[in-house]
Amino acid sequence: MIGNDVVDLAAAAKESNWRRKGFLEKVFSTEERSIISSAINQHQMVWLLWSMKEAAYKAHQREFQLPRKLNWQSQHCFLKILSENEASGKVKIGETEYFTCSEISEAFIHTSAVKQKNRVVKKGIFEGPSRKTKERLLQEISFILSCDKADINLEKDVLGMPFFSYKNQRIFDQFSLSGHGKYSAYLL
Amino acid sequence: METNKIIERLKTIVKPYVQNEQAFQDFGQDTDFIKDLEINSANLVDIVLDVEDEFDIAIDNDSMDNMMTVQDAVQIIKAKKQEA
Repeated sequence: MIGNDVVDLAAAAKESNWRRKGFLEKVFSTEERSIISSAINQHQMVWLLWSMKEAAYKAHQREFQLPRKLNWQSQHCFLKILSENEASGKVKIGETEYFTCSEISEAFIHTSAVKQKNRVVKKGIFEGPSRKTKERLLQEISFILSCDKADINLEKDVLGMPFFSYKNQRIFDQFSLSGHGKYSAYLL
Repeated sequence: METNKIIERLKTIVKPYVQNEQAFQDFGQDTDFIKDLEINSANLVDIVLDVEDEFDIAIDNDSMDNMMTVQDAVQIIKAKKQEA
């Protein structure tokens, strides 16, 4: 199972004040908070760890058919490699581990999470309205499934997770969508 | 504490984070913070913190887990107020 998450860093700076009292404590463990406080770029580190948690939980939701929860403390981040423009590591949720790979730029952070370490993924990150990203994904899916894109629809199930249907039948859900600020992304 | 009064105060707390104004018009017990109001997930942390401040309660992680709708929040607030 796979999941992804994108954070628009400028939007995050405007919308969220992670320095407010109690914010970090609600989301991050003591270990994670010490990674943040010792980071050179704390803003970036907060959102890197955040996107790792969100991407991993999306994969976890798919894996176990779970509803969305506000349970960031149950997702434990382990950062293995961090460079200027990428990071990799894993996130543990209960007994399950997800491997994460993050792309870091001045403008955004995008994290992909996979359960199978060798899973080959294809990602797309775009600026602009999310319908354009969905349109591109639709194109990819119609190619993979070799069917006309007019015949497939993007829908959401009761858990709020997206899937593609063909003539009213669920046919594909091995993908993940995310969006924040001016960015949106898919992983498949 | 009356449910209606709690909902009124929640509405004021949630307002600045709402992305779907249309759904906000119908704000009520069944309103889902993510599915209906399309609040971004980081702002849900703010909502939890704002609720703690407004109602002078501490919301533990287990309670926070399930705070997805207005009704969930009302129940948590009532339970925490009773404990206090």
